[in-house]
Amino acid sequence: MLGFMDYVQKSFYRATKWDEDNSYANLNATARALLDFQTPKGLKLNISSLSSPNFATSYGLASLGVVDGSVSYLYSSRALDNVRNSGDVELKDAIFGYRDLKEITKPDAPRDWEIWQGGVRVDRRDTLLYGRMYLPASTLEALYLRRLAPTRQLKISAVSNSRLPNGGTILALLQQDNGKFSSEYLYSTDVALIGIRGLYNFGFDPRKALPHNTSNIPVDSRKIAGRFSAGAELYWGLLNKSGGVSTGFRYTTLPSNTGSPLTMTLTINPIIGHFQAAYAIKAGKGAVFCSRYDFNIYSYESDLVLGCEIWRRKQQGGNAKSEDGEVWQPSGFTTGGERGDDVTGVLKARITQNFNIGLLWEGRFKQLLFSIGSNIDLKRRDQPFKTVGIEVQYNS
Amino acid sequence: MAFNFNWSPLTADPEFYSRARDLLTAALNKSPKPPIIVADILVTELNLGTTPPDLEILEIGDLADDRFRGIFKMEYSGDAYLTLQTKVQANPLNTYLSTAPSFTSPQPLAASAPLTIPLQITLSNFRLSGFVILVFSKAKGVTLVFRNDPLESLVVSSTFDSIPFIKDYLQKEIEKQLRNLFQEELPAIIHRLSLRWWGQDYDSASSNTLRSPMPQNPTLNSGPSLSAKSSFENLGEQAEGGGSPQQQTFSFNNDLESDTLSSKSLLRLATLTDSQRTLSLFTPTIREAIYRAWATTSERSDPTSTPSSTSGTHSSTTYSMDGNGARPGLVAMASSLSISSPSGGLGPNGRPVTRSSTLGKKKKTRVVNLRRKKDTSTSDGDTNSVAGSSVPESITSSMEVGYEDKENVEANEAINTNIPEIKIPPPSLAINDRRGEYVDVSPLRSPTGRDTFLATRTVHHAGSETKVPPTPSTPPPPQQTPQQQHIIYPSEKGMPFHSSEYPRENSTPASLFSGQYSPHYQPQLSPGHHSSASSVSMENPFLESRGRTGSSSSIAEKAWMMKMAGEMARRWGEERLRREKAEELLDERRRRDGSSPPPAYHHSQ
Repeated sequence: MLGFMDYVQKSFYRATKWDEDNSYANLNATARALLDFQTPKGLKLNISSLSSPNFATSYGLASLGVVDGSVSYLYSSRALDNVRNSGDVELKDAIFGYRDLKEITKPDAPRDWEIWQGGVRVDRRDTLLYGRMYLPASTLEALYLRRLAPTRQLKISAVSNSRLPNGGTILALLQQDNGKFSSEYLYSTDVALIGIRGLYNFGFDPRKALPHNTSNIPVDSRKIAGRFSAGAELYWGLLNKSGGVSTGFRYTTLPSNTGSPLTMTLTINPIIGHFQAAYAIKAGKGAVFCSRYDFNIYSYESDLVLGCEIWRRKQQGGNAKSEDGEVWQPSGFTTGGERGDDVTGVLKARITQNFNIGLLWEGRFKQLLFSIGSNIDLKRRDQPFKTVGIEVQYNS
Repeated sequence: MAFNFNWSPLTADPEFYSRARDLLTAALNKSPKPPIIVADILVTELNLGTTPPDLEILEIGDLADDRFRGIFKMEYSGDAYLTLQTKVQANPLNTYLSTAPSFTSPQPLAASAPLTIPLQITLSNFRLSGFVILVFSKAKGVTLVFRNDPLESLVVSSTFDSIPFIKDYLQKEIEKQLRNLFQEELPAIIHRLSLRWWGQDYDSASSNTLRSPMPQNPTLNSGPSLSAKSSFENLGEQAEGGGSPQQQTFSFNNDLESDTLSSKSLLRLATLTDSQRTLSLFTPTIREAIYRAWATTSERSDPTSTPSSTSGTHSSTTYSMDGNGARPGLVAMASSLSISSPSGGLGPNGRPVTRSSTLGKKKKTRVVNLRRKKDTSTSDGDTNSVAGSSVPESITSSMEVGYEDKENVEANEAINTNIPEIKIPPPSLAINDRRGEYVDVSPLRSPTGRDTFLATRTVHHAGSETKVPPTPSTPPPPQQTPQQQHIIYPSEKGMPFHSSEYPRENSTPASLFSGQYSPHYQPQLSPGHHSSASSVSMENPFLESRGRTGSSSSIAEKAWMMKMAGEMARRWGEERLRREKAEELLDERRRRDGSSPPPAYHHSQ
């Protein structure tokens, strides 16, 4: 489940029209959401509120043997009107899941952002400030986010902790998104790591497509049905003289596609010799299945993870045993554009090739968002439950 | 005397390697591993090679059928090798990310993909050089401790030799781990192995080691028979404060119930040890404890307060002044010995003789030896002053090498005679007591005057030849001995006062082995002059603790004192006889060759 502050940050992106998904770092976000989800450990309570459209606070309390907690504050210069409380929020916004990628859009022209008032330019760049203090651990997280331009965003995150080398680290990330392609430049103080990431979307170019207004000339749906993207990343640690390279490809269907939505990704690390292929398909309206295969050509090590995501909706007849993922019967394709507010819960499950099972049930109970999860190791018969946890969240 | 170290039979035992491998594997996996190592470390091959290490005996503190303690200088450049198997993370970005906080992680997509590679590391071409303290006791097994970091260099060859970054990293990490292994794990391994080796009482011994991983110091030295009382001795020594408190603290905890030490005291002791580690000048005051430094000063001040005992104590003072200004610990040792040794009152004659007197009957032979050298080599100067003030360590040390055995024998005799049940001597009282006794005796025997001094010295010579095994003309003073000892104790002079009292234990992992370290503590204190003295003290902890702390309260104590008084009187008589005889002899000789009277004599004339 998304923490409230992450949710607010996403809302900030939406408010400032920043496309998070158009980044190489999120190339395989779907597979990660379906297969690498975190199951809660112990008991976690979160109470958050957006006291004003610009200011949010959140208090967390976790009990896992010892009680620890965190206090976080967030300030946004842009009024975040799109943030909803836990009773109203759409679950698909509050839960990581299959990413329905939107069509890329042409970024705003810089001139669009200019606001003139009496001959003086009064517009300001939107900024988000966020800080979080973990109490007994004495760890401080800080985030500075600034939309420098319609195509540019600066993100500086820092962690301060006495146990870390040099007392903490700072990561500076400059992101550029032109729609057709995006690039990111980063620097981390930890090992003086510099990095560059780029993503290029083949096919449809929103900048050139603009003259043809979609309303006037209907675009060929087959052309727009999917999008193929390719990207690469390169890191180099100045201090430890080591680096890393990877390249990746993704094909995903777009909302205009008439068939089942699917996403395929392939990432390659040529240095390490690592291949990773993931395939996710939305089988019906409320079920997503995903598989991922890892293979290393040097060590011949391989790994296979299977996962699924079942969305449970309010009883609308037809799907009685909806909670049971195995006997889920899709109620048929309903017309698009239906609001997702009838979703009451999501069941996520994954299984690895060494019979490690992760289960997560996320849903809403009255005004509370909750998630219950467990990690089960089937190889250990005597004590199969490795972790069990519940997380409860209340936002107002 | 010869030692025969057998290297090959050790390796011939087929089970030895498997056992050693298991223990090494366990030891290597105990400490937290660096993130680059992602699996357990397995020792697959272990071979000690055919070349034994070069051992140079620096000092033998204790020698008997069932026990041995010595300090060696070890040099090793043999063909032993060790092969380890583990799995490492070959992607440096992955290891970096595993330690970095996730909030600031750059979140690479696939650049941090893991690649675990089975790694085989062969460690060979070991170059070791260090000082080894070896303690063997049949009951307690073998304890082997490195005084310094023995690892000079080694060659790490692995599957990653072609990648320089990983190679360097591995070399660095392995050296770090090995240093740790040598100084902390290896002693434990060897100890456990030896316990298994000798088999006997392994269960009890292991349970012992579980409870208290170090055997008692006095127990170790004085044999198992004394083990019951060892704690009391410890108590005595602790109260006396001379012994380094930290090691005593640990041995304390083992034998006495831990609740005898309040948490406050423990805290203080911890602060004390910390202060030595950190060179902090702050030392907490501990009640009922006499610091060695204080003991020294009190000894120094004693002669002035009790003039009658001047001759006796004075020597110890001068001695301490010259030889060991930098090692005050020795003074306490010497002075305490002067009190404790039964024949302490024997030599109240002149300054130099008092040296012998302080150190008891064994010292007689020493002085004789000294004199002999002086006689042959020099003809001028005050022997007294030479002996007392600027004794080169080489001479004394060479002597002690020769005398070790005999003294041990004597000490053992002393143990046998003096062992009767002795309870804890309450502190301070006894010192007065013993001192009083000493005072009583000494003036009787000290007619004073340097004529008599010379006489007594010769007398001692003669006496020793009759009574004690003749002064070995053998002790071939190995020229290196002093140098080695200088090597061992170089830093002591640089150390601050307090830390020089409890030398070097700090550097050793006291947690595991302090009990077994403790024996070494004394020998290292007494590199030159006093190793024999200290060996006495170790051979005979009873005598030692009694003498130092002394309790006149118990009946046993009194009985012992009576016995000692009788003994002293007897010896005094003998001594007097001898002295007279010697005076005659000397006179005769003087008459015979009046040309070159010994310098001291000359002076006094």
